[in-house]
Amino acid sequence: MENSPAATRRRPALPALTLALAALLWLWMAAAIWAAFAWAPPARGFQNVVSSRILFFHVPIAWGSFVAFLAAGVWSLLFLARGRRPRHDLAAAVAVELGLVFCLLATLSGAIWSRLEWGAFWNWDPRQTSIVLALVFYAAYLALRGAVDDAETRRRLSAAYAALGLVVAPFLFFVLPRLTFSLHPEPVINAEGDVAMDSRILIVLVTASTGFTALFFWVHNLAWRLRRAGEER
Amino acid sequence: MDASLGGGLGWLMAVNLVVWSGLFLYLLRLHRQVRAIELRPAESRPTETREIAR
Repeated sequence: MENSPAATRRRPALPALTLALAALLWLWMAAAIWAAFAWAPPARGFQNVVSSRILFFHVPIAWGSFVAFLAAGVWSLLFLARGRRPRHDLAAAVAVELGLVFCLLATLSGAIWSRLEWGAFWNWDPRQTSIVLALVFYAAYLALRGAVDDAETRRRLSAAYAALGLVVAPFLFFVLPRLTFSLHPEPVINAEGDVAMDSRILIVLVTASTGFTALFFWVHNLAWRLRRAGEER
Repeated sequence: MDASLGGGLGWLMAVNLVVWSGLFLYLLRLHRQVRAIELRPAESRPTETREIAR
């Protein structure tokens, strides 16, 4: 019975450690959601203090996209430096795809908040401009992968491109938005070099950012393993 | 508790929790499916897996 097709098709149970980590992530994110709506005090200095709670999701999702792009760069460097293994190239490609999804969600949630706070979905604020540039930069990575037929050449070129992203992404996310006046608040790293934010707001932002980072690595792991399983055939 | 859950905030929190729980359960199901696919011989893996890999 154990070797029958029905038995081999039966879905195996997940290891206890995987289930425990998954349960921890559910609790972590549920706590972040509760804290975002019920524990954090209303943000000061905003016209619409209720809608400002969207920032508890907008900022962590943007952080998740940054982590994804950094991870893609690191996997690309590993590909170039450690024997050019296809699994590293595949990990980088999956990270860029997920990073683009996170980046798009951050852009959309930011546009909704912009409409509520500043009166328009789009203002060409430096940070809005830089996130569009990040979207274009990493969309070009996918276009590059789609344009090269030879697998080895495609892997080498896209790895070099994503490794370049290790410089481009920090510049677009952290440097460019601070070069000129921005409508975005600068409560974490500002001219005074101080954290000008309520401690509970900061705790919720860090908790949600950690949760979204873990969510990225979980989804990445699943997508990467699924593709590897298909490529091994 | 500083924040009041009135004015629709409680509903928003509930919707967020439901969406997160749904996504979480979907990912758990996907995790089991991926594990099942990995345990199969490569030749018998479903076609859609091979197509995704391309």
